[in-house]
Amino acid sequence: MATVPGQLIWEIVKKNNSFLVKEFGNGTASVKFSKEPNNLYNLHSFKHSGLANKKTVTIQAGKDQSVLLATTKTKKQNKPARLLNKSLMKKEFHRMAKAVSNQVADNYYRPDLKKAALARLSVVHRSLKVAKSGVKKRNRQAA
Amino acid sequence: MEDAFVCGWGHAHAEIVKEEMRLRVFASLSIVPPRRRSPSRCSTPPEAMAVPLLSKKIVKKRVKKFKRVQSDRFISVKENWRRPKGIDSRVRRKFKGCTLMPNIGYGSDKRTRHYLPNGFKKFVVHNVKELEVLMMHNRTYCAEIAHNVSTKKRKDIVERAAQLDIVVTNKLARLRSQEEE
Repeated sequence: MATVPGQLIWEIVKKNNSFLVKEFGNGTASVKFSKEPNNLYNLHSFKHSGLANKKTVTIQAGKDQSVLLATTKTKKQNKPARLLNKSLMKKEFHRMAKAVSNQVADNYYRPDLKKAALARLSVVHRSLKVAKSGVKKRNRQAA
Repeated sequence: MEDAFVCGWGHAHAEIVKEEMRLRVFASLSIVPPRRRSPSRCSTPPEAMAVPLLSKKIVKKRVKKFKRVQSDRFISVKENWRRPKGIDSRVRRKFKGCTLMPNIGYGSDKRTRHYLPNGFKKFVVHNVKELEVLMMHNRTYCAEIAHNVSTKKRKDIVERAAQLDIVVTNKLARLRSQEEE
């Protein structure tokens, strides 16, 4: 997000930032998540952080049944308003998946995030479908 | 290492070992059908999302409370556990038939620790934004709406949780007052 090295930003930001969601507890009971929109797994870690990385991927629900895919521009790091390369995807699922893997991995942008991006795409896609058709009465969660 | 062992044992013994191996191979052949069953046993339907990933059975080694020694005899001695420290204490010296003392051996398996009986870990959620954090973790974490969230916002959270297929432990809370209106 800025023009200083990502590692430095991470050291500054990792202890506390506005996106951090913590659950306290001893040992494995405590957990740290992140609310950043460009954090694919919502995990509080350097790899997934949207603040500390020059290249990030956003996948979220857009307007009416579309999925927003956005990647950050490395050369506009000090212009936050123009930071994102946005594209709205409205096609069927396998085409969106193709687009995502193209934009994330096949052009060597963030190949390490390919799996995360595709996983998130499928979750977002499913949530859109459920939102459109309504929740089924026979819900698995009820049991 | 094992090869060296077998060689060291001499020829006759090695042959016995070989036979055993052969037997084992046959045994494994006959066991083939049950093996084939094992993948089907972890039956996760392709569409089922909010099914917990946890495959291990949650075992609690002890579910009874550890009561403080002699808490049954004096009102001033409460039931909350305190370690006996007296020089003559039978309980401290772990005599047969005395009350048991808690120790680290009663701890749960690390892999099932902090899991709820429904197979999820709990994450307290105050608003929709915090719920969306669980979007990618809906098979390990379930949401619990914080106690001080209003009915109106609870509805939003529950609705969004259904879209994201996140289990909410207390999704029926504060529902009745709403129906009475």
